[in-house]
Amino acid sequence: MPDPEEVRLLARCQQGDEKAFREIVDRYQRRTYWIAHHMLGNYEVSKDISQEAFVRVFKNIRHFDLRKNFYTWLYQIVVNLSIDYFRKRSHHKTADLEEVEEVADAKPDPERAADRTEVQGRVQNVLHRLPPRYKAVLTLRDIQGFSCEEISEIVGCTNATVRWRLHRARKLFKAMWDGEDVEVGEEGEEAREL
Amino acid sequence: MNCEELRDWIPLYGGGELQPNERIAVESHIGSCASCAREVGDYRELRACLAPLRDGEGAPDLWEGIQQELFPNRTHPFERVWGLARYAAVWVAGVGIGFAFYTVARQAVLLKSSVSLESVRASDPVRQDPGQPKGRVVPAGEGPGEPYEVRPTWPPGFRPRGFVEGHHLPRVERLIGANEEVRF
Repeated sequence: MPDPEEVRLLARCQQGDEKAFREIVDRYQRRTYWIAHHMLGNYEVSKDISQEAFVRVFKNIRHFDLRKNFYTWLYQIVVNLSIDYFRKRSHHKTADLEEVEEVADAKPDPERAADRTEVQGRVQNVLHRLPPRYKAVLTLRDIQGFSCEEISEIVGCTNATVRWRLHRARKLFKAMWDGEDVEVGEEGEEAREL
Repeated sequence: MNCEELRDWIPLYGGGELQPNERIAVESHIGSCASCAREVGDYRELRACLAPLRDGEGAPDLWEGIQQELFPNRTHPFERVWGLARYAAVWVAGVGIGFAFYTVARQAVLLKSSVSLESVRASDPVRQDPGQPKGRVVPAGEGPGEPYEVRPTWPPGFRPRGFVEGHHLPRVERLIGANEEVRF
């Protein structure tokens, strides 16, 4: 059930209230940014994606049903924007590790880079090699802690499909983590071990 | 159940995504299979590596970018005043230029009309003739060589004898001398 306080804020946003929308942004901007960041691995791009997601939310807030959960709608926009960005940027079906590492390390936030451990850096690199749909469910489940039902609402598929993608994502992640040479397609359907 | 049958369930066991019967099957198997138990542990460790990635600060200036795009009128007060001043200056300059053009054009028209009127009056032999009736000089639409005609201003009801209504052409004798010949 949506939070009543949040419903009041959203109702004010539907009237064009800037202050109410500022509060909504403050509530969700951190998580929104990190979902985008885990999908894309780039500070500036993640910020742009987050900003674009909030702008789209405000422009379409009048059509939003206040009885539904706002965050699933917001994160759905973030995930879709991230996947779209990744697809536009990707010119090859096989994920090139060097290219992905370049994306992941391109203009990182200097303050965050200092705090990142070696393990987390390796986790990030492996994560960014995953196909976008697998990366999305893994990010939402194992990093952000959403339930399978919430993830199915966010990514727009059934619970069974979320489970299947989660299963494939974790297997692929483990294979890459163990150093196995894995060639994957954009959607991961043609993943095989070399 | 054997390892092959449980292979697809093991990645989901650590995250709690299995159905109750599936979870029970895996738990009973890993109790007797070290390989599958080790694999379950590997997946748990990987999930533990991913969880800390959740923490972190958001983008500090995210709201400024959103505000600039959605609420562009929310500018600094000084910028707003400066914008209004520029707008007013352009408007005043436009009005001033327009007024200057209007003034110059009007003066040119007046000057042209006064010059043409004066030149006509100055070359009018009829008007210069004190014997002719005084009247208004108006441009004539027809008449050979006569750019004007004189409309006499008689008192109401009065008409001199021999006057042709509407036209008063100068006599030939007045235009050429008595001893001159007219050649065509």
